[in-house]
Amino acid sequence: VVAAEATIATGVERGRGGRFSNWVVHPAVVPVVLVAAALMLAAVVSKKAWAVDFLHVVCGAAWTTVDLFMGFVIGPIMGRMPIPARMELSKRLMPVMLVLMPTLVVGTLVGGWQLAGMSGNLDTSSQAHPYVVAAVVVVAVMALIALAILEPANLVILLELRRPQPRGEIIGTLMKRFIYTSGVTGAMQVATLILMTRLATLH
Amino acid sequence: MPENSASSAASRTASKLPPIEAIAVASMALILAGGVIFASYLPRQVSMVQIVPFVAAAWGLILVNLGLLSRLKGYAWGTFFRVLRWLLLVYLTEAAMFEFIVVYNHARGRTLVMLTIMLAAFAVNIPLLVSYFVGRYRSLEPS
Repeated sequence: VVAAEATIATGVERGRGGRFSNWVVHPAVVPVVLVAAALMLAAVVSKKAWAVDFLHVVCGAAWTTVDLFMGFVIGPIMGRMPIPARMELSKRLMPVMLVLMPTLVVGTLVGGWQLAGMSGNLDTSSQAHPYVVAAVVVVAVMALIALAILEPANLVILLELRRPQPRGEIIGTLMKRFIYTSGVTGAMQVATLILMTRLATLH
Repeated sequence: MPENSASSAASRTASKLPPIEAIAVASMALILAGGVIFASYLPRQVSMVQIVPFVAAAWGLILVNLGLLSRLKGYAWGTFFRVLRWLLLVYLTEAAMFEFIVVYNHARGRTLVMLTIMLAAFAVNIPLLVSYFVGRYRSLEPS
């Protein structure tokens, strides 16, 4: 589903090099993401608690881990790398993130919502309900940062890096968005871990 | 033209553009706030008095943005539409998945209508924001 995003830059950058050389993400990933989306829907319609739980835990754990790892491990390391090396790493890393993260986020949200409904945690009378609402607030903050602040910057940087002479000032300005938001995202992910472990041990 | 002066010129041009990005972020925040209100009520019927102002304001801001976009001159429209069509495909598909989950979980009546309107706002707003942003930087290319 989300892999269509991988082809966004196709039209923008088409015209140089071989058949797929100008694609930001190789189209081979599209079937992989389509399979992931199909598995998400299969888990939901199966009404099997294990399948929905698996979907939510796997996608959610990967989302949190990747976010924290990128923000607090890869980010500072990249900051100390020489600029050409940083650009090379970004050129390879960002297309992967462009496909991976939306897929994980959709899987987490779909699985989480379904799981909350199946376990009765959506019911306002449930003692877990405040935790579910708090989790929705946390996800809303992370969604605002990821979709409205980071995604546009990510795409512009990707396209900039593909130019014969990338404009360093623009890349530098936009990369600051990742640095400024990493603290908030990190705090939200830690809050997610606290809320989810609390939810899992309530009953 | 040296790269630094080109980028400085780009920055000056960028500062003259209308605040489309800020308006889109505000609209997105309103949609998400509406989503939080929904989550705090479900599975009960959500109070329309609480939710409608958020949704109406979010759509109002989207319309303002469309108006501002239509008045842009010297903008990279080709890039904007190429990015927009792919992003619309992505976000409409995502919204459809969420809509499926909502319907599958027996949301009906006004709740379903409001959730659908909110998901539509989400599916339109983000592609507009990202496409505008990419087009903006493409417009700033030194000639």
